[in-house]
Amino acid sequence: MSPNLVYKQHRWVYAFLQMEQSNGKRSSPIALFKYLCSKIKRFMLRILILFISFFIANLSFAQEKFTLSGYIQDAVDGEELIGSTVFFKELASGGSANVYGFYSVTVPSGTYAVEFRFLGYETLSKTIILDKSQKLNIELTPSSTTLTEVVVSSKVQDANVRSTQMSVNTLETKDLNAIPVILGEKDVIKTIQLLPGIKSSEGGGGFFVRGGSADQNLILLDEAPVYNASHLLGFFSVFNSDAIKDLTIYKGHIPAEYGGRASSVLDIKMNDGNSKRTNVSAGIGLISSRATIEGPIVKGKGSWIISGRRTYLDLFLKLSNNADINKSQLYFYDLNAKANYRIGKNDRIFLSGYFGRDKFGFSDVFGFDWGNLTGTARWNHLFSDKLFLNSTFLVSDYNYNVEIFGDEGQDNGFNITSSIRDYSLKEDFSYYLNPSNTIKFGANGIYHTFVPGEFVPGAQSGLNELILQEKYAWETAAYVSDDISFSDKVKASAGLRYSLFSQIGPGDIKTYDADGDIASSTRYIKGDVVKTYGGLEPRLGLTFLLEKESSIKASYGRNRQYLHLISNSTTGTPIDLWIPSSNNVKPQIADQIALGYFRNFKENAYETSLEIYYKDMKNQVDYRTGAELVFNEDVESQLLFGKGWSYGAELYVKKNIGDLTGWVSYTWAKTERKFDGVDYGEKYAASWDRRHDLSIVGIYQLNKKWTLSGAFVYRTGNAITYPIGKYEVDDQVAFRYGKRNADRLPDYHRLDLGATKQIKNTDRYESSLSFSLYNAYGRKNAWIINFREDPDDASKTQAVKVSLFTFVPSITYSIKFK
Amino acid sequence: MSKPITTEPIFGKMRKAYIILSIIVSAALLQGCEKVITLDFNDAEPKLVVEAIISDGPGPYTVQLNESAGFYESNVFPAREGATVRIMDDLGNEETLIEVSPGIYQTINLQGELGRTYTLLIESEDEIYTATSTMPSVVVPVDTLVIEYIPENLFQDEGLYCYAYATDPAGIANYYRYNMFVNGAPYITYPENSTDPLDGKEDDNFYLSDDKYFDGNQIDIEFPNLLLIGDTVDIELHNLDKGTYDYYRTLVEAIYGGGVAPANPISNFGDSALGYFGAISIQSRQMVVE
Repeated sequence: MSPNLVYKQHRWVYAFLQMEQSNGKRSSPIALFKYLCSKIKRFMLRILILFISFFIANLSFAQEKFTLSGYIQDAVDGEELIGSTVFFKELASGGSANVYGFYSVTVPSGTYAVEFRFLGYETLSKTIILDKSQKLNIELTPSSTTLTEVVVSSKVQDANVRSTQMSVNTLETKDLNAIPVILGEKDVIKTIQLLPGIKSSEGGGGFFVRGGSADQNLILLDEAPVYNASHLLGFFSVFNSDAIKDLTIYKGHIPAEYGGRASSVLDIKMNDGNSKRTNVSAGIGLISSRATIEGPIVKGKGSWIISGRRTYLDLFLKLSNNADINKSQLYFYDLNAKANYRIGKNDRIFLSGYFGRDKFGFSDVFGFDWGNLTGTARWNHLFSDKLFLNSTFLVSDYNYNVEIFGDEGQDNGFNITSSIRDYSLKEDFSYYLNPSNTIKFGANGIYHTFVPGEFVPGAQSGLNELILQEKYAWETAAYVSDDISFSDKVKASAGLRYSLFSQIGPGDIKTYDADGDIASSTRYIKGDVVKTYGGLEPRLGLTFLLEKESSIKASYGRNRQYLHLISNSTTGTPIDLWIPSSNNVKPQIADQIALGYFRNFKENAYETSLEIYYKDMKNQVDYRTGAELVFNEDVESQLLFGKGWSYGAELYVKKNIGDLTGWVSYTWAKTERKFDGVDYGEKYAASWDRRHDLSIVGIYQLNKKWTLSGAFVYRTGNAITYPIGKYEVDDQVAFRYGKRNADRLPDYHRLDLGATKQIKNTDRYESSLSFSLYNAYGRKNAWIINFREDPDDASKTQAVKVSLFTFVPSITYSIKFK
Repeated sequence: MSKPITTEPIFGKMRKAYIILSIIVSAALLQGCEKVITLDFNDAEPKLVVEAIISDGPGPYTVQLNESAGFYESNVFPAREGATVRIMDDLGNEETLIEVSPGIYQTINLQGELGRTYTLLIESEDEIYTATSTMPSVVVPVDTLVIEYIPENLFQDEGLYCYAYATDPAGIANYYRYNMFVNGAPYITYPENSTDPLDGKEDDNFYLSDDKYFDGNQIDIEFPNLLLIGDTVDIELHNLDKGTYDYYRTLVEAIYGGGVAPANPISNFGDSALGYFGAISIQSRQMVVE
């Protein structure tokens, strides 16, 4: 051990002792942990500075080198192989393809044996004489032993161990296919909830990452934010798995190109479509059907895909004798479309869009529909073989519409609408300096328009029109990040993001006093800046490779969040309201540090990891007692602000190869909040706080025809508030409540089973039949607990557990024409 | 006749739509099920419960003091006896109430007046409890009552229903509670195929609304209770201040088990006692169904 390191270790011990003494009292382990975290944070920032200087030095020492660059694609359908690697044997280093399948490696001139690799594909070796920079597009053939690739998330061998990224999980659509889900509706959101650190809610679309609330997840579909990812009360997500290529979720150390949410980024990419030949596939399930058609645009130049699904629950309603019911509607649909085209060698354009909606209509009494629209236009441009630019223009819109119809022949109904809309422009550069150094930088701007609510009654209704004031905001950011290898053993990824947010006019901007009453009101005209927030968001990840197949990683990241979701439920509803940061509402800030040990066994047959984290959250939002959140001009006056923190450990063991594949994930975690306005500033458990969370997923390839699968989940019940007694007023029995979230729902556990039989696999088509059984042993998990008068004895009160989903079987038929 | 809109906040309608949606979803695919369970509650020490109203109608006004009970105890709430109960107004008038039966305290001479601010002061078991409420200064009378025949539809059975009309004063925020009494008592709903009084459920009369959507307009209130010919209908319109309205609004949540973070209603006693002291203006109108 070097003397310097010994000295540093002593300093740690010294610092620790000093803290113990200066406090004059024994600190709790948590306080100590927090203290260590702040030290680590400072340490990380120092490294960042060191790192920047290293980077500058690196630039100045750059010598004459040549660049090998190009695209890596699937030889069968032309899909880009994101994350495939280029390996220069002689140098024992290389690079990997970005999300557009583009790679670029700059090395000294010479003759190299170069390998192109992607897990589940045949490795392609080429001898390359690199005496000038050259372009080389590569097509890899899927390996014939497809049986082993049912569940593959690490795309490159040892990728999980070697990369500088931690706290990240990746899923491909083929991962989704085998895992049993409710009613056979493959669902990315439900599947990621089986991963460590991601907590689910049954009967709700929201998910919670490392103690963050549901609105702290940035959900991107081809780079466009999706503001409400739920269908049908949250039982299904808006992502049709037929249209999804892959997804990545960052739970900590979020790369600097992402920003805007405090806890996580769920980055979902749509399929590009088959660029080799036209394909049609379809599936028929119990509650929905889906179809996809894809094909080339001028063979080899581009491709397109259209994918849709629609549920048909309402077709069952038609069978009813009741005229009100059989005239009702209840369905949702999703439509995804994407096209891409290469213009010359250096340019490529992508257009993609998503449109989905839930429709619910009851007879001629009312209608209620909601949905998202996203559109993304992208242009990839290569300035040189080292500098890659992606320009993106995107739009995202979420809205709902409620209509109460008037009486026959009378204009006395009314209509309520609300929406959020973003327009955004992004420029993202990648600069491939050399195999050990990739720099990314860019900037983006988003213009947000919020329409909180418009109430428009019919002329004969006797009600007044009520239009809540629209809100506007600019959100901009610039970032630079650098992936760098200091040596074979030490790698880092450092990023710095600066974000800026302005609430702008026009509007009457109010301030509120401590009781939530209006204190003042100021009129701003169009374009006036009401309030601006901004700040740095440093991100840093370090990887220390130990002996073969193992590493230790550490990371720190700060995230700022300028939009807040106001919701009457923890899990989300269609009428939830997004509000911007404003003169009354400060941006949420989350700081997270994480430490992890990664180890693979038996040549990547098993991947394991153990991560611990601590997250500190400022300016968190909660609600006043009895808050009026719906259709309230002064909704900001109903909010309370406080802080939150969470910490935990996540264990993950995954088996990648063999007839039996799958994973076990276990999370121990604690999430607490502290608000002056709640229980006089005492800390309380967040409702999504759960001590234990276990998922076991297994997929077994029985033979060539049958695949069996199972998923088991166990978790501590959510924190909730039970009554602490009752009393009588107004001749009614009311329940008396004590401290917030002081109680727990009963523990939750469930087993799901699935089986898929391949029926036919010919040159012309393949077909399969999938069966699933959700909640196979019929556990009656508590969804909610109601308190009410005993129907058999009016002098008593009782608690009633409401459960959903016991034994839900399903069958789905899928066919794909080749 | 217009739709039943104003008897509940507009979003009650949406909530109803949402509940129906949930029911359909449950029936179609969730097989939702209910089971009575026994929970281990952390019952707290009994707390004082105050129910006190002063109005612009004739006295005496009653203040009822009780104690809270544990969740699994019978609905028997002990009276708080021997308290000193006083009501004061903002002119310095003061009256001490007399305990006429255990836990029931009444005024003798006090007459509530519009626009006055009243303070209730209770001294009991070495604690002092105070609450203040202001009676709205505007009277909102019930203009007319109408009995209407409604054919069967999604929300109602066929039959006779009562509509009340009033005029909302323009330009100021008003808060209302509407009460219906049939033959002198709260309306009783019986389950299907039963007229046993023990099965009947009294209407809680929590029909609340603010005037956000109809400021300055005619208010039309539809009561959802089916009436019979010969019934005497009494409609009371309570004009409340915002504090009292917020209390009732949050009380409904506490009675029916409320929301993400259930809490006690917003009370003018703060956290010291449960219940409320309200100064309200009451107008009423009566008619016989013919």
